[in-house]
Amino acid sequence: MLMDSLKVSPAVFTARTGWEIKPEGFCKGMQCVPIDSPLDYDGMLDVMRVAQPLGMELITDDASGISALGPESQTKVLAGVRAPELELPDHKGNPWRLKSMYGKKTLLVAWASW
Amino acid sequence: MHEELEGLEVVTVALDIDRSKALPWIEKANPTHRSVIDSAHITGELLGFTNVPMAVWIDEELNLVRPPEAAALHRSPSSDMEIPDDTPPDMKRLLSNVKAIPDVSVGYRDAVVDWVEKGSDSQYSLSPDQVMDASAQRTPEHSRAAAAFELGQYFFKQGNQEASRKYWRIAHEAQPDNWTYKRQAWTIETTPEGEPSDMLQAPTDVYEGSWLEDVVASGGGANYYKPPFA
Repeated sequence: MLMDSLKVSPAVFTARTGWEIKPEGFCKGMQCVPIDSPLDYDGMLDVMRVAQPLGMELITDDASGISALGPESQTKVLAGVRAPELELPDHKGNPWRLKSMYGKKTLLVAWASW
Repeated sequence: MHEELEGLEVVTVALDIDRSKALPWIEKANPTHRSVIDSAHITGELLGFTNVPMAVWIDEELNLVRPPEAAALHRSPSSDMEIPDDTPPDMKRLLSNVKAIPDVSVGYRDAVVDWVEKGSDSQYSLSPDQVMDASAQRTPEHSRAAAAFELGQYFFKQGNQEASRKYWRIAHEAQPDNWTYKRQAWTIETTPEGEPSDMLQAPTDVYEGSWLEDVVASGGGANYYKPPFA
């Protein structure tokens, strides 16, 4: 997750990472991590305060001020067996969503030009 | 394969930061299946692709029934290539390691066909627990590698190649067994002759590793892929 500020809206954080604030803490799927006071007075999420408890590595490029937050760690790469929300453009530029494959058996194959 | 096998959809995902590099391959193949481009390597982060080709199987309910693993439907021609005796030593070493890469296609097509026909009764369709057990553990170093790789992508797309190299070096060091991070970065560098892309991913002054040296360091071509059904 790229950021030009370490204060982000909870909605953006959830959309980009899958973690959302619930009464029991920050939750993703079945996993919940209690974090005290993750929000600032203005309702923005302080990424510095949640990165470590969630095991997400944060790197900031000092020259540009751009930061990148890695995915949660100390867990499996797969958040679960449910296929993740995924939208990518096809080779003609048309959006494709993984959930459009509902009802079909799908072989999703990664390749590269390199 | 989807044309031969009713009930199967194939979606190919090109992990290419530069979309224009993938397009000619796709246009030449003229695919009848959906062919998408993942210029941010987001599927690597979400699904765990660490090299190509790799695949996951997804059932009708959108559940993964096979974890990310090496995938091939056809035997690679490189498995059967002849390496002439008079091949220069460096090239011979490279080709020998390429030739030693295991044939991932062994049993793969038959396994897919079995799954399409039998669904969850197929011996190749894994339970949710089996899929999760097979999913790799993500360490803090892996998280750091993902963050660094994303920063590198950002700077590459901004045209700041020096900064992109800085962060891609961090990604390579943090997760050395992630070939997508390394191969993507290596191939962007020019050849010693100044060609725009180096498919051999040879040593450069920019990165510590190269395809051949890293393959050798990890046990040689024979360890490059783990065939799922061999």
